[in-house]
Amino acid sequence: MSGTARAPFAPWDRRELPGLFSVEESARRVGNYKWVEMRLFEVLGGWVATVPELDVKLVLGRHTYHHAWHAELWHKRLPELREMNPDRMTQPPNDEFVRFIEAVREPEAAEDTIEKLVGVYRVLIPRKIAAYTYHLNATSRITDAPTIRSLKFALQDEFEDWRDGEMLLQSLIDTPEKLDRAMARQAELEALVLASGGIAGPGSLGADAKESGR
Amino acid sequence: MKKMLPEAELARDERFVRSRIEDAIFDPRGARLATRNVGPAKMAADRPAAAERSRSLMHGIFVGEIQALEGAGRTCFDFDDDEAPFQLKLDMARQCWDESRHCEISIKLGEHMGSEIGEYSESTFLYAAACNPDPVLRLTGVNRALEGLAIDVFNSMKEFGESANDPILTFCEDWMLADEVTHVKMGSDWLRRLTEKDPERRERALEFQRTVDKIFSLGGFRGESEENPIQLARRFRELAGFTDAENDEIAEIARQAQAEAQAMSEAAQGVD
Amino acid sequence: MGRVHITPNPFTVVPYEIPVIEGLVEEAAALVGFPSDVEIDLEIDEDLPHPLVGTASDVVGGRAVLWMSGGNLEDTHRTRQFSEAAARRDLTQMLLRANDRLSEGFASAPPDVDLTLAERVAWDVYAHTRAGRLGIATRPDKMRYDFRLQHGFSDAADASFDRLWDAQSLTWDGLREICKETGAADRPVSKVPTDLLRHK
Repeated sequence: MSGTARAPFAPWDRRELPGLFSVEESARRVGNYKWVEMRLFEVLGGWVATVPELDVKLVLGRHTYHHAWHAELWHKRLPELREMNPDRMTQPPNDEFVRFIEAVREPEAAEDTIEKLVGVYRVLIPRKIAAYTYHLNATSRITDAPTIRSLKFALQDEFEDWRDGEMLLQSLIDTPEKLDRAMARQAELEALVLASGGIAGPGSLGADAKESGR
Repeated sequence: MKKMLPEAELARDERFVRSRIEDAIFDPRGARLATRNVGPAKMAADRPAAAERSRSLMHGIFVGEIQALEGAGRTCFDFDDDEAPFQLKLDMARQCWDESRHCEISIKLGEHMGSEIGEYSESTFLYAAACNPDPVLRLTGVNRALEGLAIDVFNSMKEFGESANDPILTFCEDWMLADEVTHVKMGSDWLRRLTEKDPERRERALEFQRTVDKIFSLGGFRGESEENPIQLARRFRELAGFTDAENDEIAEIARQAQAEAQAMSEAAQGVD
Repeated sequence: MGRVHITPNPFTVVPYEIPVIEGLVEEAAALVGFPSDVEIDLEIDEDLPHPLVGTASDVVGGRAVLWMSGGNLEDTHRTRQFSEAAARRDLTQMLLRANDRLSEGFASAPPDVDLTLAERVAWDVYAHTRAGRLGIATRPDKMRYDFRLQHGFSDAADASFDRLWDAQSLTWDGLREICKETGAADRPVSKVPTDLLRHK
């Protein structure tokens, strides 16, 4: 049997071997991702019973599953990154991030729907999109391809969920007073997440641009 | 946010009006009606008040789906990682999505039947089964009793749709039925796994299920005769993993619930 | 003593009030132009709860003989509580149908007990739409579903419903013609008596 010998990489395949993350660094970040996805799906599920708005209730029910599925993706990826005890790596990046997540999960009252949604859709999910995108762009496209595949699946959900949440918020914020509430809530949580450095801690989006000289 | 949200704190918009199950059970008309022939309780298009009865039941399904969604959601939140396994919580999150879709389907079916959200009252007794502080008991109450009832209700509605040649109702109920069979299987699986080495806890869970099943039989609402609007769907229950003995037991519980409700109604009315 | 005769009097199972219902009957009669010299007998079955609803409108010996389930008067949110809106809506429709029976165009219509379910729902749709034109809150989607249950879930049935809904004036023959168009007239008659709820 014979055939024409072809190059192993097609001319348009420009993937390179190097990436910024070691196995350990990728595992650390994936552990952080799993931790935050768990805290997120838990609270979305818990909030379903506390929001009176029917459309919000049903969207939260759907998004609960999205983030649980992401947690499962990261849970399955951890042993593939030499971490045979996934629970050990399922950690927040630092105490400041725990404080941020506790603040996101705090609202309970039926009249606090705006506060609940701002925390998730205007602060947390944008941070997740940013950190996932950085990981996607920075890691080796060949050696860490399974993580990239999961990141792409997760990002697809994150973009769509962010859009759902943002549109719900825009429809709920219909007075200057509600706008003030949303802005105050966002400022409060942004300060907390800033102190933590993001969902994977300082360096969630890579080294500081000034430090790297770019 | 606190763990364990009581039934009274379920959030609803102004369209919803809550009723109490006792009002229906102790309604003196129940006993008087029981002595009369108002036709087979099982629904069909040629039976008395078919349209209004089906609309009312569809609204009951809709609010039941909301409560099932809320119950599954609370199970994701109420238990820490050491109280409920990660995979169990993932299953509950999946169930949230399914119940959320069921709410959407039920809303659309309600519109199809000409009713409106909040047109009929809501009883929150289904959610009460999701308030047990033991995750095994909660899962047994929700996924085996509540979701088992959902199998019976959806099958009855599917048969009603078939009898009326209503393609939309038949189509939707069949899809929802598939999800409910999955949810019951999930419940049976977790009951077995979590109580493998704890037969006493398993017995407590099964006892809790019996109690919930009795409440869910609603004094004759569910059963196996023409006198029961909702028929025990043995075939689908078997697909979901219920054994013949378990189905026989649920049928017996339903018969007892019907007899007790009739006795209570007669007592309320002062009939000997 | 007025011309409206309600039984039972008083109610013993549900806390409904005879004078309130009498007033609503008179109000509905005035609204639909029901002749003031025709006596109205209204029997309410207080044992029947919502959703076991049903009504009948006949004319016997020159009197309107009406029957309704207590469920038709019940608040759908509160067990055994009277709903004035539901009573106003259903009494108006019942009197519209009784008024039809007094007219030449419906002289050949059989009594309610002998109507098929398809004929009966077609007549109800015709009454419902006229009640709407008189200012009573109507629910066209609800009536469309009721109509489809007996006439089929088809384009033909929907077209017939639309004709009924838009009809300004119909006769019994016109109603029967519509039942033939949907094929409902050719279906086997149900073995379940249409007046089963009235059997005590």
